[in-house]
Amino acid sequence: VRRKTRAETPKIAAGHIGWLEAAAVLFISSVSKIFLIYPVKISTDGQTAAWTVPMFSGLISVVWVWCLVSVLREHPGEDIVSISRTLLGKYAAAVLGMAFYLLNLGLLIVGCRECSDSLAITMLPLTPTKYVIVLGVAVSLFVALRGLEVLSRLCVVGAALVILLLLATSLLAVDMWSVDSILPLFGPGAAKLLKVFGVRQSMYGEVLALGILSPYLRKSSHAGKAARWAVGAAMVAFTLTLLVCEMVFPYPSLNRQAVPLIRVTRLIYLGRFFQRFEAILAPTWLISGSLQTAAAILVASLMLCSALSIRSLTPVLVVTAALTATAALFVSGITVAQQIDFDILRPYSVILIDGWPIGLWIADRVRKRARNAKGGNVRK
Amino acid sequence: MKRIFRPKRPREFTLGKRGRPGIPGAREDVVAGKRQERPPYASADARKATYSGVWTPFFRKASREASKPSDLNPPFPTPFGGMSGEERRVMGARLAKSLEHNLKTVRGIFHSPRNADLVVRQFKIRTGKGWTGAAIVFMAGLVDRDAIRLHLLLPLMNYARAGAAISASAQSLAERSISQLQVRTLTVYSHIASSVVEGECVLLVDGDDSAVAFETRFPEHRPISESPTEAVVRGPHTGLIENLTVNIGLIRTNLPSPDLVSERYYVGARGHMVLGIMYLEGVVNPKLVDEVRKRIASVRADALITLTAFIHLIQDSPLDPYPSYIATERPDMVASMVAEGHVAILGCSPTAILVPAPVWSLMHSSEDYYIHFVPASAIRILRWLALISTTYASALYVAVVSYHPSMLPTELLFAMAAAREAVPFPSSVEVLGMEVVFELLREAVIRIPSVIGPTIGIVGAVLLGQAAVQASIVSPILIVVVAISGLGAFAIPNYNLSLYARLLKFVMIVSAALLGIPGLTFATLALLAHIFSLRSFGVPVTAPLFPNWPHSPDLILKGPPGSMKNRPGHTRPLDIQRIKKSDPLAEGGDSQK
Repeated sequence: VRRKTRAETPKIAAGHIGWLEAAAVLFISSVSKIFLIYPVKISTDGQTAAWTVPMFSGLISVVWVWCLVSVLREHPGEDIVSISRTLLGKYAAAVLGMAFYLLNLGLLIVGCRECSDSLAITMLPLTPTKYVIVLGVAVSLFVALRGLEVLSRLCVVGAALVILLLLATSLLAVDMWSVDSILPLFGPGAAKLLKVFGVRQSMYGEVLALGILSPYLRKSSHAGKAARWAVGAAMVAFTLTLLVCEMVFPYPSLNRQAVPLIRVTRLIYLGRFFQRFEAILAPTWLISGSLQTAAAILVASLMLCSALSIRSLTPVLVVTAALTATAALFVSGITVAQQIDFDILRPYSVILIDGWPIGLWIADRVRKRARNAKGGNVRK
Repeated sequence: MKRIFRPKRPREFTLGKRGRPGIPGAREDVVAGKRQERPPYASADARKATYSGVWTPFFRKASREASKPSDLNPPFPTPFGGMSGEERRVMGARLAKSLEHNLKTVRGIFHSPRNADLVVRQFKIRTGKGWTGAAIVFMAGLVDRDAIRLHLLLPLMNYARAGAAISASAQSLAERSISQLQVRTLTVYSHIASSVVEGECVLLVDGDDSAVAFETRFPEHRPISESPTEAVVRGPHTGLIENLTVNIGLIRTNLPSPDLVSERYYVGARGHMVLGIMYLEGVVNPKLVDEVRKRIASVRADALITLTAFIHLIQDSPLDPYPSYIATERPDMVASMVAEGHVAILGCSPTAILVPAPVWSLMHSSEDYYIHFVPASAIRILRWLALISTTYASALYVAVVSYHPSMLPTELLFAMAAAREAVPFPSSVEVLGMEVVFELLREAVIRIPSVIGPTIGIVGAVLLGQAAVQASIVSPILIVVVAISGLGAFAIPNYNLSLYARLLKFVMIVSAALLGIPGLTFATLALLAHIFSLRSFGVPVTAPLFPNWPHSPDLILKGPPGSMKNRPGHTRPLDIQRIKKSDPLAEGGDSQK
């Protein structure tokens, strides 16, 4: 059975990646949403304690990430769908793979719409949105078609840019910080905050992509290292962004921002001849967003290929990108996209994100125990 | 589904395992074999083995077909192809014992007497059997006539005059009577043909079914001089010339090592080109050398004239203008890169090709290694800025003027708006027009005779710019932008990279005209993705930084001499350490003790 599942893993137009490259893909996939309205949504839920949400959600998400890594370590060279096929059966694996694909596709569609509308609002007021969508998706598709190796190396560059930019923004905005804005510390109250921690761990949902990337790691034992670094760096980036946004804009005014991080950079004044720090942020945001879209297209396509045993990746990549661009044009506007994203897709995606790795881990344990009870040691 | 989406042939994996010598990207099934010392004229079986499975995107089909055994294949392979079956049979045939027959065949091959350059000098030598006919065959203009007269004809004639009986075999004559340095025995007509066109003199003796070729090459070549495109203030002022032997000698002078190996190959079906590859045995990865050999062997061209034309046939992405090789005219640069584990490809051309070529090396100059590392690093930063300004300066102007004027300081914005007030064109048209004029001027200056060229260039630039501004066709600030962009192209040390940047400039201008800074960002991302996917002889061009392989700090900046301990990892050298701890020279000791 294992041989069959291995053979079904599609060949992608790239070699192998190291742990740093895998961590960079996961980091960029998770973090690129902070450039849009995401901090505002977290702030709505967590109020003045919003900056604690990424930290505690990150700590909670360690549970399913650990389950995922543990299962991947037990099945080296296999992706999460192949493992599901072995442990849960082929139908369950296909359903879970398709569910992940549809979730990714949904997030891609609304993400594209949000990104293009935000771009049109902030930088290109006279350019039609559909024009931006098609060009953005085309560039992302081009990057995805270059393969995982190229994408992951670009993500390393992108991740370095994002981290440097966030650090620079935080430091340059120091004079605008107001510590009073993050008080009271418990925001809406401890009980409500706990619920937010649980629901908003979807911000690390992209780390589940490790399940599909792990067969391409140079050393399969490095999956844990990649996950640790990705979640850790994303946790720091999210916390820092929310902390800066909350301390620069008091809670009521933060809720009225469309792109709070860009607004922060617009407030930074460096001198007479360097008026807009935003000029640096905009390309970084676009690079990060395009890389995130490319990574999502690639991961979703790999998942679909694995779930439906499709051997060639390229047509699936093209179809996924075409679906994304077409569906993004049908979403009526940025507000609808945000509503679908933050009220439907992300909260309910927690079921899949948490449930799949934990379920697999439990199934693996049960199976192992059953085999041990029979006296057979399957893997030496 | 499987029927609909047929699996494609997977691309070559390009990442070798760490700690294991191997050129990343070189396919195991192709290069796993041990190093073969294949003669230039390989046997038919060896050729067949070489051509099957060799990476040859354009010639794969042709080469496979060519390697199929057929009745037309002669018993001995010929270096010449593209000829009829009868011609191939003649070329591949063994020499006969009759001198008359041999000369008739050789004359037929060279289309003599119509071909006036073939010289056939017949004479008699006295052997034990009496007087025997002999002849020398050579190509006029390629040989040293004095050498032939003094070291070949004169000894043979003197023997005859003295009445001494000498051997009737060409081989014995070469061993006992001829004082020429290099000789080799030939048994097939094709070998005679190739020897003659290379400038050797072939001796044929009646009654002997073998011939002897003597090294008598004396092609005219210019004296060694400095390369005009890679001149340096400090460092050696020598450049390669149009003679392979001299070029190899120059490189050997720079790297006097017994491990420096040079191999020769012959490429081209009708007119063949002599190539040499050089590498440092014990340092270079054998898989890289094998890959180079196989790519050279895979070329099925009719007649190749220059090395720079040839390299386009064996580079990784022939359709891509990106230079996936380093072309240099400096022997010191060739020697230093060969010492790092690269392979040099040389020909009868003043340009040497070095592979693999990471993008960082394209921005290096020989002079970086002759000056202190701090100014060398500063100059390298300047070159990178030049590359960026060539590619982006004009595009950024279009993006800022058309889409994001708010990014500019207010005073500058007002100044630019005032300057553009009378210009009737949109900024993109203005920039594209000016850039095209600049490129036109640059191209014209190359073609104009050298005496008036610089004057015309300066006058043209000044007059055109001034007139365009006065006629309100372009704004004065655009002249500054285009000048910065143009100057940047001249500061890029690699000519091919400079051409690439000049092409990219237009892509960036169009992207900026379409979407402003977002358009530029999208185009940059696509460009980066493309460059990250490029390979030079199987090695990613962004190595050894992406992927991160061991290297010395000599990529974007240049580190201090003490930090240059490792050879660059992208060549996957057998000996990664350049300076070893036990090396007495590195410790300041005296190696002579």
